[in-house]
Amino acid sequence: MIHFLSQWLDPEGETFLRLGYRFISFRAGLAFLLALLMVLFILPRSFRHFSRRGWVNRQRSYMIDASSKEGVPVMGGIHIFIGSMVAIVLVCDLGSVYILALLLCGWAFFALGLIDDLMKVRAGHHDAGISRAVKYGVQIAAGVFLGWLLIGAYSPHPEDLRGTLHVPTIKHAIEIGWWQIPLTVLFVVFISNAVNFADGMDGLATGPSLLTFFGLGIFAYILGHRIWSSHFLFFLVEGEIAHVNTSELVVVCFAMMGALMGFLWYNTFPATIFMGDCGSMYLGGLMATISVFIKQELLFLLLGAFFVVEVVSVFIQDYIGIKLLGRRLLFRAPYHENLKYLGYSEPKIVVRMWILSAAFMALGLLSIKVR
Amino acid sequence: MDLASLAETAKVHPLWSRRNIAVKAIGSITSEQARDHLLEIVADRRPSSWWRRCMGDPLHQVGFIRRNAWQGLYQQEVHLHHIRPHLDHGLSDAYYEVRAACWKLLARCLQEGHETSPGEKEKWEQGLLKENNVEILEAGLGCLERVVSPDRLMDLASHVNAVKHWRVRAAYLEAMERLSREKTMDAQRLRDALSRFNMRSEYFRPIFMLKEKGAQLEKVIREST
Repeated sequence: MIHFLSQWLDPEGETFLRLGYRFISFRAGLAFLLALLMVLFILPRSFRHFSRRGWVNRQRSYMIDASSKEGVPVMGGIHIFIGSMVAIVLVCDLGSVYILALLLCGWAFFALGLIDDLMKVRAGHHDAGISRAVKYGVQIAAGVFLGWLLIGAYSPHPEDLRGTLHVPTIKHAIEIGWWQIPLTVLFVVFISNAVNFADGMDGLATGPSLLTFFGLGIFAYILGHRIWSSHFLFFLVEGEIAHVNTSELVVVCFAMMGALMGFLWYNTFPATIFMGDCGSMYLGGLMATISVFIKQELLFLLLGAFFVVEVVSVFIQDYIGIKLLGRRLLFRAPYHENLKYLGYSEPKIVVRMWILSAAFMALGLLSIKVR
Repeated sequence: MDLASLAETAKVHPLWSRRNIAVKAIGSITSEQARDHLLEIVADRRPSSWWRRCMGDPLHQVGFIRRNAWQGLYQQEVHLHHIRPHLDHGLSDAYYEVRAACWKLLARCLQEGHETSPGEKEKWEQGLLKENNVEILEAGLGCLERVVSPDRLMDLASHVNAVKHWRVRAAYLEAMERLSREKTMDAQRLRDALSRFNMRSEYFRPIFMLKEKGAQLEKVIREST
């Protein structure tokens, strides 16, 4: 929005603001600070409001030692959403197809999580909420929309990138054609649920999400930059029509990082607020959308390895162990609950998962040059 | 559904999920017949299909059924002589939840003062020293005074030191306090075992609670001497 305003107020482009606005780094920094300050400013004001309305965490019977989490306000995802959306709308170039599609997906995932949270707090117990069918239905619809957008006639991607799959460390893409749609659906459902599973301890989903957005931001910058993309032998994600460049997604990644850092201020152990499903769905939805736009779906398995481990542990426990074999294969699932069962304290698990996430993020970044 | 048809479902239904529900239902009925049916299920040690064995379950009755059968027995009026023939299998089952359920039932029987032989005690004591699982150790430490011999108290302290979970350490301190109160062991042995027990751990969280328990125990030992 500021982009349009500055163009309108200063058509010559001589002022400092207009000059700075040309640079992605300037706008990324601005988005980060804006989102951070927004969340830091608005979040503490809403604690009492949330508690008064009964938007608080309820103890789950199947969780280990969860009594200390009871009564903590939930739906902190609203703050992440507001902080990041304000920064994105103000700082990003809203003419970009990527940004518009991303905003649409972000809204859809946030709304899905918010309705789920509201149903839970109204019912007063954690198992009430949107049915699994509706949840998967919305996620699949978002995946179909993204897949169609990328390979259809209105795709912002250049012709040679449509219907391709890129494997990290391999220079040449694999032609998958229309298989892009089911693959995108699978990926979107997988990631949005993975972040949801990971959100089970104070700051556990926030830290790795922050690192993942940082990694995705770096890839978005390289892939949208003519010089860097050719230097690292990457494809350039830039179409023929105006405002289609993935480097705009860097601003989104940094806005998300700012909002998450502001949220982490309150969400770190012992947490004074939880993000709830509205936060985790929103984060998962955005991560999936950005990865799909920059054609790095498989790389996400490395950048967000922590989320992958969480969702795979749930799959092994629920579908292979409990439903098929009639026994638990892990002590508990998701994996962080397994560590808690083994006797690790919560802050130790959380910080170690951050460290491992950082290591996997660095491993993902190594694939920039190892190709 | 009456008990007989539940028992039939629990024993012969081809789907393990149905058998499991029937076992749970039998466990919730407190009667001699229900106890006998559960004991029959516990005794069922047929080998499972090859692909289940590949996934780590050696027996026809899946882990949940074996666990629920032992948990069902816990709800019944059971004497040690009823479960004695199945205890060895239960305490050495491949699935940890079965071992935990079995230990809980054994602990209850021992706390109720059922007769045991020194040979059995020795076996259970050695079994307890091999376990690392929090649920099993908690249950085992719940009847420590009935199982462990004074000579093995030091070994147990070293073993508990190696277990990360704070609940195990708390259960150990509680068991030591019981030993001290009942005066089944002399104060010097207890003091030695406590000095071996590491009060600090890299892993445990409620350090104040453990400190408090430790201080209580020291006070009890001091009073007893």
